[in-house]
Amino acid sequence: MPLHNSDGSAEWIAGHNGGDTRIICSVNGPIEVKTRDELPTMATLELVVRPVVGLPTIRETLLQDCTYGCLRSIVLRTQLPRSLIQIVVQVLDAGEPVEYTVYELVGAINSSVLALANAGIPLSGLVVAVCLAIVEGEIVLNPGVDQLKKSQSTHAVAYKVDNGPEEVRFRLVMCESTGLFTQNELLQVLETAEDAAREENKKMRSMIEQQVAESLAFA
Amino acid sequence: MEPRSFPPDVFARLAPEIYFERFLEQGSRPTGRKFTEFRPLLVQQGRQSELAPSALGSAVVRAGQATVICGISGGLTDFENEGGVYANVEIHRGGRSGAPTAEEMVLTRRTHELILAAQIDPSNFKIDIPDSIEPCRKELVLNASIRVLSRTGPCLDLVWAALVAALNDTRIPLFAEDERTHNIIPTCERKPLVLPETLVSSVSTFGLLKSGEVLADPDGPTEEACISNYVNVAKTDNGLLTKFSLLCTDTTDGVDAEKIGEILSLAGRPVSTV
Repeated sequence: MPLHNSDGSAEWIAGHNGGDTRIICSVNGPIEVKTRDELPTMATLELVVRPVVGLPTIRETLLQDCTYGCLRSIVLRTQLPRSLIQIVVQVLDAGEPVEYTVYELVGAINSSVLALANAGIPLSGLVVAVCLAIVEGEIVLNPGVDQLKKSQSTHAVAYKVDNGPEEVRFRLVMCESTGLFTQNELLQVLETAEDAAREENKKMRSMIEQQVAESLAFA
Repeated sequence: MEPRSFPPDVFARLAPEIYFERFLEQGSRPTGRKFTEFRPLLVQQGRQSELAPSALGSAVVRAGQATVICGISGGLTDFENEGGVYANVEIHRGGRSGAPTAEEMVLTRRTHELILAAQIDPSNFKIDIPDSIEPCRKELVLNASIRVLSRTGPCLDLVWAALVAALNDTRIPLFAEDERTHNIIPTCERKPLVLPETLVSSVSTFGLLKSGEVLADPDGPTEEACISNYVNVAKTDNGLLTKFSLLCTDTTDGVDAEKIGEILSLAGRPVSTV
Protein backbone atom coordinates (compact mmCIF):
# COMPACT_ATOMS: atom_id res chain seq x y z
CA MET A 1 0.00 0.00 0.00
CA PRO A 2 2.14 2.90 -1.25
CA LEU A 3 -0.34 5.71 -0.45
CA HIS A 4 -1.37 5.87 3.20
CA ASN A 5 -4.06 8.55 3.01
CA SER A 6 -6.26 6.69 0.54
CA ASP A 7 -8.57 3.76 1.28
CA GLY A 8 -6.56 1.51 -1.02
CA SER A 9 -3.61 1.87 -3.34
CA ALA A 10 -1.21 -0.12 -5.46
CA GLU A 11 1.86 0.46 -7.56
CA TRP A 12 2.45 -1.55 -10.72
CA ILE A 13 5.98 -1.92 -12.01
CA ALA A 14 6.44 -3.82 -15.25
CA GLY A 15 8.48 -3.98 -18.40
CA HIS A 16 11.25 -5.84 -20.09
CA ASN A 17 13.88 -4.92 -17.50
CA GLY A 18 11.34 -5.37 -14.72
CA GLY A 19 10.85 -1.67 -14.09
CA ASP A 20 10.38 0.43 -17.22
CA THR A 21 6.73 1.22 -16.56
CA ARG A 22 5.64 2.53 -13.18
CA ILE A 23 2.01 3.26 -12.43
CA ILE A 24 0.49 4.18 -9.10
CA CYS A 25 -3.22 3.97 -8.34
CA SER A 26 -5.35 5.15 -5.45
CA VAL A 27 -8.89 4.11 -4.60
CA ASN A 28 -11.22 5.98 -2.29
CA GLY A 29 -14.57 4.51 -1.54
CA PRO A 30 -17.30 4.06 -0.71
CA ILE A 31 -17.53 7.82 -0.16
CA GLU A 32 -20.28 10.38 -0.50
CA VAL A 33 -21.43 11.00 -4.06
CA LYS A 34 -22.59 14.28 -5.59
CA THR A 35 -26.37 14.29 -6.02
CA ARG A 36 -25.90 14.81 -9.76
CA ASP A 37 -23.89 11.57 -10.11
CA GLU A 38 -25.84 9.51 -7.57
CA LEU A 39 -27.30 6.22 -8.78
CA PRO A 40 -30.13 4.87 -6.61
CA THR A 41 -29.37 1.19 -7.20
CA MET A 42 -25.60 1.08 -7.52
CA ALA A 43 -22.30 2.78 -6.79
CA THR A 44 -20.90 5.41 -9.12
CA LEU A 45 -17.50 4.41 -10.45
CA GLU A 46 -15.17 7.30 -11.27
CA LEU A 47 -11.87 6.75 -13.00
CA VAL A 48 -9.20 9.28 -13.91
CA VAL A 49 -5.98 8.42 -15.72
CA ARG A 50 -3.24 11.03 -15.42
CA PRO A 51 -0.19 11.12 -17.70
CA VAL A 52 3.43 11.58 -16.53
CA VAL A 53 3.52 15.23 -17.62
CA GLY A 54 0.74 17.74 -18.15
CA LEU A 55 -3.00 17.31 -18.35
CA PRO A 56 -4.81 14.22 -19.66
CA THR A 57 -5.29 14.18 -23.44
CA ILE A 58 -7.42 11.97 -25.71
CA ARG A 59 -4.70 9.34 -25.37
CA GLU A 60 -5.55 9.05 -21.67
CA THR A 61 -9.29 9.21 -22.42
CA LEU A 62 -9.00 6.03 -24.48
CA LEU A 63 -6.94 4.37 -21.73
CA GLN A 64 -9.63 5.43 -19.27
CA ASP A 65 -12.39 4.07 -21.49
CA CYS A 66 -10.77 0.64 -21.84
CA THR A 67 -9.83 0.41 -18.15
CA TYR A 68 -13.29 1.50 -17.07
CA GLY A 69 -14.86 -1.21 -19.25
CA CYS A 70 -12.74 -3.87 -17.54
CA LEU A 71 -13.35 -2.61 -14.00
CA ARG A 72 -17.09 -2.27 -14.55
CA SER A 73 -17.25 -6.02 -15.12
CA ILE A 74 -15.79 -6.94 -11.72
CA VAL A 75 -16.88 -4.26 -9.22
CA LEU A 76 -20.07 -5.38 -7.47
CA ARG A 77 -21.62 -1.96 -7.71
CA THR A 78 -25.08 -3.00 -6.53
CA GLN A 79 -23.65 -3.79 -3.07
CA LEU A 80 -22.80 -0.13 -2.48
CA PRO A 81 -25.75 1.89 -3.76
CA ARG A 82 -25.74 5.72 -3.60
CA SER A 83 -22.00 5.96 -3.06
CA LEU A 84 -18.88 6.84 -5.00
CA ILE A 85 -15.81 4.75 -5.74
CA GLN A 86 -13.06 7.05 -6.92
CA ILE A 87 -10.08 5.59 -8.75
CA VAL A 88 -7.10 7.71 -9.79
CA VAL A 89 -4.36 6.18 -11.94
CA GLN A 90 -1.16 8.20 -12.16
CA VAL A 91 1.49 7.17 -14.66
CA LEU A 92 4.91 7.73 -13.02
CA ASP A 93 6.99 6.34 -15.87
CA ALA A 94 5.36 5.39 -19.17
CA GLY A 95 8.25 3.11 -20.19
CA GLU A 96 7.15 3.23 -23.84
CA PRO A 97 7.22 5.75 -26.71
CA VAL A 98 4.21 8.06 -26.93
CA GLU A 99 2.75 6.22 -29.98
CA TYR A 100 2.22 3.10 -27.89
CA THR A 101 -0.19 2.62 -25.03
CA VAL A 102 0.07 -1.11 -24.27
CA TYR A 103 2.12 -0.91 -21.09
CA GLU A 104 0.14 1.98 -19.67
CA LEU A 105 -3.14 0.22 -20.41
CA VAL A 106 -2.00 -3.03 -18.79
CA GLY A 107 -0.56 -1.13 -15.83
CA ALA A 108 -3.72 0.95 -15.38
CA ILE A 109 -5.89 -2.18 -15.30
CA ASN A 110 -3.68 -4.26 -13.01
CA SER A 111 -2.89 -1.46 -10.57
CA SER A 112 -6.53 -0.43 -10.23
CA VAL A 113 -7.67 -4.03 -9.65
CA LEU A 114 -5.07 -4.44 -6.89
CA ALA A 115 -5.95 -1.05 -5.39
CA LEU A 116 -9.67 -1.93 -5.42
CA ALA A 117 -8.94 -5.19 -3.61
CA ASN A 118 -6.72 -3.28 -1.18
CA ALA A 119 -9.52 -0.81 -0.47
CA GLY A 120 -11.90 -3.66 0.34
CA ILE A 121 -14.33 -2.89 -2.48
CA PRO A 122 -16.50 -5.96 -3.23
CA LEU A 123 -15.29 -7.61 -6.44
CA SER A 124 -16.72 -10.57 -8.34
CA GLY A 125 -13.23 -11.58 -9.43
CA LEU A 126 -9.99 -10.17 -10.76
CA VAL A 127 -9.09 -8.80 -14.16
CA VAL A 128 -5.56 -9.66 -15.18
CA ALA A 129 -3.97 -7.85 -18.11
CA VAL A 130 -0.84 -8.77 -20.04
CA CYS A 131 1.18 -7.04 -22.73
CA LEU A 132 2.52 -8.71 -25.88
CA ALA A 133 4.04 -7.77 -29.21
CA ILE A 134 4.85 -9.58 -32.43
CA VAL A 135 8.51 -8.90 -33.29
CA GLU A 136 9.89 -10.44 -36.50
CA GLY A 137 7.13 -13.03 -36.51
CA GLU A 138 7.72 -14.09 -32.88
CA ILE A 139 5.31 -13.44 -30.05
CA VAL A 140 7.13 -11.61 -27.25
CA LEU A 141 5.70 -11.25 -23.77
CA ASN A 142 6.57 -7.94 -22.03
CA PRO A 143 8.57 -6.51 -24.95
CA GLY A 144 11.32 -3.97 -24.35
CA VAL A 145 11.28 -0.48 -25.86
CA ASP A 146 13.53 -1.53 -28.76
CA GLN A 147 11.32 -4.53 -29.46
CA LEU A 148 8.21 -2.31 -29.34
CA LYS A 149 9.72 0.01 -31.95
CA LYS A 150 10.59 -2.96 -34.18
CA SER A 151 7.27 -4.74 -33.63
CA GLN A 152 4.69 -5.37 -36.35
CA SER A 153 1.85 -5.29 -33.85
CA THR A 154 1.21 -4.71 -30.15
CA HIS A 155 -1.46 -6.38 -28.02
CA ALA A 156 -2.90 -5.61 -24.59
CA VAL A 157 -5.10 -8.49 -23.47
CA ALA A 158 -7.16 -8.75 -20.26
CA TYR A 159 -8.83 -11.81 -18.80
CA LYS A 160 -11.40 -12.00 -16.07
CA VAL A 161 -10.85 -14.60 -13.37
CA ASP A 162 -13.89 -15.33 -11.23
CA ASN A 163 -13.55 -15.89 -7.51
CA GLY A 164 -13.48 -19.61 -6.80
CA PRO A 165 -11.29 -22.69 -7.17
CA GLU A 166 -7.88 -22.64 -8.86
CA GLU A 167 -8.93 -24.17 -12.18
CA VAL A 168 -11.53 -21.58 -13.08
CA ARG A 169 -12.07 -20.48 -16.64
CA PHE A 170 -10.36 -17.36 -17.85
CA ARG A 171 -12.77 -15.17 -19.77
CA LEU A 172 -11.47 -12.75 -22.36
CA VAL A 173 -12.62 -9.27 -21.34
CA MET A 174 -10.52 -6.91 -23.39
CA CYS A 175 -8.17 -7.08 -26.33
CA GLU A 176 -6.57 -4.03 -27.92
CA SER A 177 -4.44 -5.07 -30.87
CA THR A 178 -2.83 -2.51 -33.16
CA GLY A 179 -0.39 -2.88 -36.04
CA LEU A 180 -0.39 -5.32 -38.89
CA PHE A 181 -1.24 -8.93 -38.11
CA THR A 182 -3.09 -11.97 -39.43
CA GLN A 183 -6.02 -13.84 -37.95
CA ASN A 184 -3.78 -16.77 -36.96
CA GLU A 185 -1.30 -14.46 -35.27
CA LEU A 186 -4.12 -12.90 -33.26
CA LEU A 187 -5.38 -16.30 -32.11
CA GLN A 188 -1.85 -17.36 -31.14
CA VAL A 189 -1.39 -14.10 -29.23
CA LEU A 190 -4.59 -14.77 -27.29
CA GLU A 191 -3.42 -18.30 -26.47
CA THR A 192 -0.05 -17.03 -25.18
CA ALA A 193 -1.79 -14.21 -23.33
CA GLU A 194 -4.04 -16.65 -21.48
CA ASP A 195 -1.05 -18.66 -20.22
CA ALA A 196 0.70 -15.45 -19.18
CA ALA A 197 -2.47 -14.22 -17.46
CA ARG A 198 -2.62 -17.47 -15.43
CA GLU A 199 0.88 -16.78 -14.12
CA GLU A 200 0.07 -13.13 -13.47
CA ASN A 201 -3.12 -14.14 -11.65
CA LYS A 202 -1.14 -16.34 -9.24
CA LYS A 203 1.19 -13.42 -8.48
CA MET A 204 -1.67 -10.97 -7.96
CA ARG A 205 -3.57 -13.38 -5.72
CA SER A 206 -0.53 -14.05 -3.55
CA MET A 207 0.01 -10.28 -3.26
CA ILE A 208 -3.58 -9.80 -2.08
CA GLU A 209 -3.31 -12.77 0.33
CA GLN A 210 -0.13 -11.33 1.81
CA GLN A 211 -1.77 -7.91 2.19
CA VAL A 212 -4.81 -9.41 3.93
CA ALA A 213 -2.62 -11.48 6.27
CA GLU A 214 -0.62 -8.39 7.23
CA SER A 215 -3.70 -6.33 7.89
CA LEU A 216 -5.31 -8.89 10.20
CA ALA A 217 -5.04 -7.57 13.73
CA PHE A 218 -4.73 -10.93 15.44
CA ALA A 219 -2.72 -12.80 12.84
CA MET B 1 -57.49 -2.25 -13.45
CA GLU B 2 -57.19 -2.63 -17.20
CA PRO B 3 -53.89 -3.68 -18.72
CA ARG B 4 -52.07 -0.80 -20.34
CA SER B 5 -50.78 -1.10 -23.84
CA PHE B 6 -48.27 1.11 -25.58
CA PRO B 7 -47.38 1.79 -29.18
CA PRO B 8 -44.17 -0.11 -30.19
CA ASP B 9 -41.87 2.95 -30.13
CA VAL B 10 -42.96 3.88 -26.60
CA PHE B 11 -42.61 0.27 -25.41
CA ALA B 12 -39.11 0.16 -26.96
CA ARG B 13 -38.09 3.12 -24.81
CA LEU B 14 -39.76 1.86 -21.63
CA ALA B 15 -38.44 -1.70 -21.73
CA PRO B 16 -35.74 -1.97 -24.40
CA GLU B 17 -34.51 -5.39 -23.14
CA ILE B 18 -37.92 -7.07 -23.47
CA TYR B 19 -38.60 -5.36 -26.79
CA PHE B 20 -35.22 -6.48 -28.15
CA GLU B 21 -35.65 -10.04 -26.85
CA ARG B 22 -38.95 -10.45 -28.74
CA PHE B 23 -37.15 -9.65 -31.98
CA LEU B 24 -34.24 -11.97 -31.24
CA GLU B 25 -36.62 -14.85 -30.46
CA GLN B 26 -37.97 -14.53 -33.98
CA GLY B 27 -34.48 -14.33 -35.48
CA SER B 28 -34.71 -10.68 -36.50
CA ARG B 29 -33.63 -7.25 -35.28
CA PRO B 30 -35.57 -4.00 -34.66
CA THR B 31 -33.90 -2.54 -37.75
CA GLY B 32 -35.24 -5.40 -39.89
CA ARG B 33 -31.75 -6.63 -40.75
CA LYS B 34 -30.45 -10.18 -40.38
CA PHE B 35 -28.01 -10.88 -37.51
CA THR B 36 -24.95 -10.74 -39.75
CA GLU B 37 -26.18 -8.10 -42.15
CA PHE B 38 -24.49 -4.70 -42.39
CA ARG B 39 -26.21 -1.48 -43.39
CA PRO B 40 -25.27 -0.62 -46.96
CA LEU B 41 -22.47 1.94 -46.83
CA LEU B 42 -22.72 4.67 -49.42
CA VAL B 43 -19.54 6.66 -49.99
CA GLN B 44 -19.45 9.86 -51.99
CA GLN B 45 -16.02 11.30 -52.65
CA GLY B 46 -15.75 15.03 -53.08
CA ARG B 47 -14.25 14.66 -56.59
CA GLN B 48 -11.52 17.21 -55.93
CA SER B 49 -13.67 19.00 -53.46
CA GLU B 50 -16.84 19.86 -55.32
CA LEU B 51 -18.52 19.35 -51.95
CA ALA B 52 -16.24 21.83 -50.19
CA PRO B 53 -14.23 23.98 -52.63
CA SER B 54 -11.77 25.32 -50.06
CA ALA B 55 -10.87 21.84 -48.79
CA LEU B 56 -8.04 19.73 -50.21
CA GLY B 57 -10.29 16.70 -50.18
CA SER B 58 -13.67 15.67 -48.84
CA ALA B 59 -16.14 12.82 -48.63
CA VAL B 60 -19.61 12.01 -47.38
CA VAL B 61 -20.59 8.60 -46.04
CA ARG B 62 -24.12 7.46 -45.43
CA ALA B 63 -25.39 4.35 -43.71
CA GLY B 64 -29.03 4.10 -42.68
CA GLN B 65 -30.01 7.36 -40.99
CA ALA B 66 -26.44 8.36 -40.15
CA THR B 67 -24.29 10.69 -42.22
CA VAL B 68 -20.60 11.43 -41.73
CA ILE B 69 -18.82 14.29 -43.49
CA CYS B 70 -15.04 14.55 -43.71
CA GLY B 71 -13.17 17.58 -44.99
CA ILE B 72 -9.40 17.78 -45.25
CA SER B 73 -7.53 21.04 -44.91
CA GLY B 74 -3.80 21.60 -45.00
CA GLY B 75 -1.23 23.45 -42.94
CA LEU B 76 2.52 23.62 -42.40
CA THR B 77 4.50 22.73 -39.33
CA ASP B 78 8.06 23.71 -38.41
CA PHE B 79 8.62 20.56 -36.40
CA GLU B 80 10.46 17.69 -37.99
CA ASN B 81 8.59 14.37 -38.43
CA GLU B 82 5.38 16.00 -37.20
CA GLY B 83 3.78 16.10 -40.65
CA GLY B 84 0.91 13.70 -41.18
CA VAL B 85 -2.83 13.26 -40.97
CA TYR B 86 -4.58 14.39 -37.82
CA ALA B 87 -8.26 13.67 -37.36
CA ASN B 88 -10.83 15.39 -35.18
CA VAL B 89 -14.24 13.80 -34.77
CA GLU B 90 -17.28 15.79 -33.73
CA ILE B 91 -20.74 14.40 -33.15
CA HIS B 92 -23.58 16.84 -33.72
CA ARG B 93 -26.42 16.50 -31.26
CA GLY B 94 -28.97 19.18 -31.91
CA GLY B 95 -26.94 22.37 -31.87
CA ARG B 96 -25.38 22.02 -28.43
CA SER B 97 -21.73 22.95 -28.42
CA GLY B 98 -19.17 22.73 -25.67
CA ALA B 99 -16.27 20.60 -24.54
CA PRO B 100 -15.87 17.38 -26.52
CA THR B 101 -17.67 14.40 -25.06
CA ALA B 102 -15.88 11.22 -23.99
CA GLU B 103 -17.23 9.43 -27.07
CA GLU B 104 -15.82 12.10 -29.40
CA MET B 105 -12.42 11.90 -27.72
CA VAL B 106 -12.36 8.09 -27.86
CA LEU B 107 -13.39 8.13 -31.54
CA THR B 108 -10.72 10.71 -32.36
CA ARG B 109 -8.04 8.68 -30.61
CA ARG B 110 -9.16 5.42 -32.23
CA THR B 111 -9.07 7.07 -35.66
CA HIS B 112 -5.58 8.38 -34.87
CA GLU B 113 -4.43 4.87 -33.91
CA LEU B 114 -5.82 3.51 -37.19
CA ILE B 115 -3.89 6.20 -39.09
CA LEU B 116 -0.70 5.23 -37.23
CA ALA B 117 -1.31 1.52 -37.91
CA ALA B 118 -1.79 2.19 -41.64
CA GLN B 119 1.76 3.64 -41.82
CA ILE B 120 1.30 6.34 -44.44
CA ASP B 121 4.65 7.07 -46.10
CA PRO B 122 6.12 10.19 -44.37
CA SER B 123 7.54 11.38 -47.73
CA ASN B 124 3.96 12.42 -48.58
CA PHE B 125 4.29 15.24 -46.08
CA LYS B 126 7.80 16.43 -46.91
CA ILE B 127 7.93 19.68 -48.85
CA ASP B 128 10.20 19.48 -51.80
CA ILE B 129 11.29 22.83 -53.24
CA PRO B 130 13.72 22.28 -56.11
CA ASP B 131 15.05 25.86 -56.35
CA SER B 132 15.70 26.27 -52.68
CA ILE B 133 19.36 26.14 -51.66
CA GLU B 134 18.60 25.31 -48.06
CA PRO B 135 16.61 22.13 -47.45
CA CYS B 136 13.07 22.97 -46.36
CA ARG B 137 12.30 21.94 -42.80
CA LYS B 138 8.59 22.57 -42.99
CA GLU B 139 6.23 19.62 -43.27
CA LEU B 140 2.66 19.30 -44.38
CA VAL B 141 -0.08 18.65 -41.87
CA LEU B 142 -3.46 17.43 -43.07
CA ASN B 143 -6.28 18.17 -40.66
CA ALA B 144 -9.25 15.91 -41.16
CA SER B 145 -12.38 17.41 -39.69
CA ILE B 146 -14.93 14.63 -39.38
CA ARG B 147 -18.49 15.45 -38.43
CA VAL B 148 -21.08 12.88 -37.53
CA LEU B 149 -24.57 14.12 -38.28
CA SER B 150 -27.61 12.31 -36.88
CA ARG B 151 -25.72 9.66 -34.95
CA THR B 152 -27.75 6.48 -34.58
CA GLY B 153 -25.21 4.09 -33.07
CA PRO B 154 -21.49 3.35 -32.72
CA CYS B 155 -19.85 5.11 -35.65
CA LEU B 156 -16.13 4.31 -35.83
CA ASP B 157 -16.77 2.33 -39.04
CA LEU B 158 -18.43 5.30 -40.77
CA VAL B 159 -15.83 7.77 -39.48
CA TRP B 160 -12.99 5.64 -40.88
CA ALA B 161 -14.75 5.10 -44.22
CA ALA B 162 -15.23 8.87 -44.53
CA LEU B 163 -11.58 9.56 -43.71
CA VAL B 164 -10.25 6.98 -46.18
CA ALA B 165 -12.52 8.29 -48.95
CA ALA B 166 -11.51 11.90 -48.22
CA LEU B 167 -7.79 11.01 -48.24
CA ASN B 168 -8.27 9.27 -51.59
CA ASP B 169 -9.90 12.43 -52.86
CA THR B 170 -7.19 14.71 -51.44
CA ARG B 171 -4.96 16.58 -53.87
CA ILE B 172 -2.17 18.36 -52.02
CA PRO B 173 -0.68 21.52 -53.54
CA LEU B 174 2.95 21.70 -54.61
CA PHE B 175 4.90 24.40 -52.82
CA ALA B 176 7.35 27.03 -54.00
CA GLU B 177 9.49 29.66 -52.33
CA ASP B 178 8.32 33.20 -52.73
CA GLU B 179 11.22 35.14 -54.22
CA ARG B 180 10.50 38.36 -52.41
CA THR B 181 9.53 37.22 -48.94
CA HIS B 182 11.29 33.81 -48.95
CA ASN B 183 8.16 32.33 -47.51
CA ILE B 184 6.86 28.99 -48.64
CA ILE B 185 3.65 29.36 -50.61
CA PRO B 186 1.33 26.82 -52.28
CA THR B 187 1.13 26.80 -56.07
CA CYS B 188 -1.85 25.91 -58.26
CA GLU B 189 -0.40 22.52 -59.09
CA ARG B 190 -1.77 19.60 -57.11
CA LYS B 191 -0.85 15.97 -56.64
CA PRO B 192 -2.62 13.03 -54.99
CA LEU B 193 -1.31 11.37 -51.83
CA VAL B 194 0.49 8.05 -52.14
CA LEU B 195 -1.58 5.91 -49.83
CA PRO B 196 -0.57 2.43 -48.65
CA GLU B 197 -2.78 -0.59 -49.22
CA THR B 198 -3.15 -0.97 -45.46
CA LEU B 199 -5.07 2.30 -45.32
CA VAL B 200 -7.85 0.98 -47.50
CA SER B 201 -9.20 -1.16 -44.73
CA SER B 202 -12.78 -1.31 -43.64
CA VAL B 203 -13.73 -1.14 -40.00
CA SER B 204 -16.58 -3.41 -38.96
CA THR B 205 -18.37 -3.12 -35.65
CA PHE B 206 -20.00 -6.10 -33.99
CA GLY B 207 -22.18 -6.42 -30.94
CA LEU B 208 -21.99 -9.58 -28.88
CA LEU B 209 -25.10 -10.64 -27.03
CA LYS B 210 -24.96 -12.24 -23.60
CA SER B 211 -25.88 -15.56 -25.22
CA GLY B 212 -22.87 -15.29 -27.55
CA GLU B 213 -24.84 -14.37 -30.68
CA VAL B 214 -22.97 -11.99 -33.01
CA LEU B 215 -24.82 -8.94 -34.37
CA ALA B 216 -23.14 -7.10 -37.22
CA ASP B 217 -23.22 -3.31 -37.29
CA PRO B 218 -25.37 -2.52 -34.22
CA ASP B 219 -27.53 0.52 -34.79
CA GLY B 220 -30.49 2.28 -33.23
CA PRO B 221 -31.39 3.15 -29.63
CA THR B 222 -32.75 -0.29 -28.71
CA GLU B 223 -29.67 -2.21 -29.86
CA GLU B 224 -27.40 0.33 -28.21
CA ALA B 225 -29.28 0.10 -24.93
CA CYS B 226 -29.16 -3.70 -24.86
CA ILE B 227 -25.67 -4.50 -26.17
CA SER B 228 -22.75 -4.10 -23.79
CA ASN B 229 -20.10 -6.11 -25.64
CA TYR B 230 -18.47 -4.60 -28.70
CA VAL B 231 -15.80 -5.71 -31.15
CA ASN B 232 -14.16 -3.47 -33.77
CA VAL B 233 -12.16 -5.06 -36.56
CA ALA B 234 -10.16 -3.19 -39.19
CA LYS B 235 -9.41 -5.52 -42.07
CA THR B 236 -7.57 -4.76 -45.31
CA ASP B 237 -8.66 -6.11 -48.69
CA ASN B 238 -6.03 -8.85 -48.56
CA GLY B 239 -7.25 -10.14 -45.20
CA LEU B 240 -4.67 -8.53 -42.91
CA LEU B 241 -5.86 -6.90 -39.69
CA THR B 242 -4.73 -3.46 -38.57
CA LYS B 243 -6.90 -3.17 -35.49
CA PHE B 244 -8.80 -5.57 -33.30
CA SER B 245 -10.42 -4.13 -30.23
CA LEU B 246 -12.74 -6.13 -28.06
CA LEU B 247 -14.51 -5.25 -24.84
CA CYS B 248 -16.74 -8.04 -23.57
CA THR B 249 -17.86 -7.55 -20.02
CA ASP B 250 -21.17 -9.34 -20.03
CA THR B 251 -21.18 -12.81 -21.59
CA THR B 252 -22.24 -16.11 -20.04
CA ASP B 253 -19.73 -18.32 -21.83
CA GLY B 254 -16.97 -15.83 -22.62
CA VAL B 255 -15.40 -15.34 -26.03
CA ASP B 256 -13.42 -18.29 -27.35
CA ALA B 257 -11.18 -18.68 -30.41
CA GLU B 258 -14.09 -20.07 -32.44
CA LYS B 259 -16.20 -16.97 -31.76
CA ILE B 260 -13.31 -14.68 -32.69
CA GLY B 261 -12.80 -16.66 -35.91
CA GLU B 262 -16.51 -16.21 -36.70
CA ILE B 263 -16.31 -12.46 -36.10
CA LEU B 264 -13.16 -12.09 -38.21
CA SER B 265 -14.71 -14.01 -41.10
CA LEU B 266 -17.72 -11.67 -41.05
CA ALA B 267 -15.53 -8.54 -40.98
CA GLY B 268 -14.98 -6.57 -44.16
CA ARG B 269 -18.20 -4.85 -45.14
CA PRO B 270 -18.99 -4.05 -48.75
CA VAL B 271 -18.72 -0.39 -49.73
CA SER B 272 -20.50 1.17 -52.67
CA THR B 273 -18.98 4.34 -54.04
CA VAL B 274 -21.11 6.91 -55.75
